[in-house]
Amino acid sequence: MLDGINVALVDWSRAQFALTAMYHWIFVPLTLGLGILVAIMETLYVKTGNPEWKRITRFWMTLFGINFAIGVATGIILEFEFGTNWSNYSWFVGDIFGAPLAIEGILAFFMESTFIAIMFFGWNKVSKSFHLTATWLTAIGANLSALWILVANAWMQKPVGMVFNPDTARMEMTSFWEVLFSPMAVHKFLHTTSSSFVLAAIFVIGISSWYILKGRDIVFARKSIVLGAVFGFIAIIYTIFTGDSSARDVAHYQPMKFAAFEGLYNGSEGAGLVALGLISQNTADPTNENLKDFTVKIEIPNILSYMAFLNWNAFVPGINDLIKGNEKYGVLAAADKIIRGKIAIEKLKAFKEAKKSGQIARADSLKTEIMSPEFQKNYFSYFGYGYIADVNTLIPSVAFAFYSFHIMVVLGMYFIFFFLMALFYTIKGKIHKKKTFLRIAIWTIPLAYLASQAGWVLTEVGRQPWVIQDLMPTMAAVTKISVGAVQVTFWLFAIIFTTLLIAELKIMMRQIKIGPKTEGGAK
Amino acid sequence: MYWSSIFWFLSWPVVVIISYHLIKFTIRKYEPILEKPIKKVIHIK
Repeated sequence: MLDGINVALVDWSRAQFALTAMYHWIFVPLTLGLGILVAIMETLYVKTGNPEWKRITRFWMTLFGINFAIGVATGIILEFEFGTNWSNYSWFVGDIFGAPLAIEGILAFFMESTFIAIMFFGWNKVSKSFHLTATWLTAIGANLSALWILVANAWMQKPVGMVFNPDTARMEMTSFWEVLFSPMAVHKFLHTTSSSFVLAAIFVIGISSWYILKGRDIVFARKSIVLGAVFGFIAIIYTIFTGDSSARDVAHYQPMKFAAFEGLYNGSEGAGLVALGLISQNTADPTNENLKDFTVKIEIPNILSYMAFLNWNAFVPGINDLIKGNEKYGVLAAADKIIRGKIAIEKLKAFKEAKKSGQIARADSLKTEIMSPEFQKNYFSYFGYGYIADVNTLIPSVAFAFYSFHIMVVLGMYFIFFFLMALFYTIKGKIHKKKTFLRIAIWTIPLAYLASQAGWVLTEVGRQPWVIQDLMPTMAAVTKISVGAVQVTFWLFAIIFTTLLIAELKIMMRQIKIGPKTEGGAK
Repeated sequence: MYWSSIFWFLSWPVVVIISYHLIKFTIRKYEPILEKPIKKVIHIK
């Protein structure tokens, strides 16, 4: 049904959005986490009156500022791409998607921009408590901005609080609160922000370790490490809990993604969790690129069932169950969903034609039928499937989903021990003797970024082929522009973003080498 | 209304506040160690 769609255009548009989002996500998590850390540092300064805390706050605030500026630049491009590259999507769900995006813009540009100015230039110009309030509001504002964009993203993964309007053929919001407090949105916000706290904590520990290795600013570095380690430890535990809730959401609302990130082809009761595994091409059907198998795996029995449904023996559907259907467990076959989706599309088409030709009574009757709860549940909820030609395209890249999930989880486990060791060595006064650990701490910074990016790769690659789960396939969302235009802008953005990243790294490294300054600017 | 979601959402500021108090407690308890200068060993040939 989407014969006119150019596959190369869809792929290049996806590549461009992925490029922008991944570059943007290099800067954002540090802003979210470091903002809160800086606010905590300044609170300690205001409460204790110790000038050392002011010195610590001002140093990390400088790094926060450099990162913040470049993060905003990449974020603006991302929002424009919804209009330039994904206009069909924006038209279909703009009424719903636009609201959180608009609030995000207002919060990002008004709240953060106002208070960040006081935060950077208000030292010695406003009272201590007013400055502290500005710092907290900047940090909270940054996290609230993230909330709205994550609400928008969560809605795409689990559409709620809306109704389809046959007259306009668009989705319209019926409950703002349902969209905002959708479990998917709240869990996503908590998991994303807490993982950003982890990244920022690792960043602080890593940079501080460099100072200790160089034998300079030792007290500053020790205090920063303790702060980072305590904050990071709480954040990683919170990240695990919120990640568990997010995984349960995926199991309920996106079972194909859940099966893909565990490489589960055949569902079972008491399904085991593959803790570690190597994926290879499926030997039974090597021509099918979507089918994979494990060369080697370490599986923990029953854990996956518990993770998905809080029941050790619950049935977890596998990829084959979701494609072929499983009558015993009430899993509908993909082919049946496609038929239902096509019926929904045909019914809408008939309604439009009746309306166009002035057959008012028929149009009204069709509209009543389309809007009936039974039709909505049994047919319209599969609307997007009507555009799917081959059931195999419903399977996302299993290798991508599996590895990104496992990289994220394994690194998450490593971070728990990392924070505990950093804290232990520092409070025992031994951190300066642990040269190997200090070097590992520096190299843990890129690992934190890897885990963070892996989480988003899992979220976005795992939900394919959907841009809106079950309602709109990605290929139907794309703007019909020339492939050449998307290719040119892709490479242009790649050059600009890489330049921005290099610039950020250079400016940051320069500031780190200069180090924390004492009052008056002297070191 | 998703009450459990609202409850979860409210855990965010609680975690930030707990983090602050735990950091303050740790810093206060171990301040002498954190501020202790490193003894430099001078090798005299």
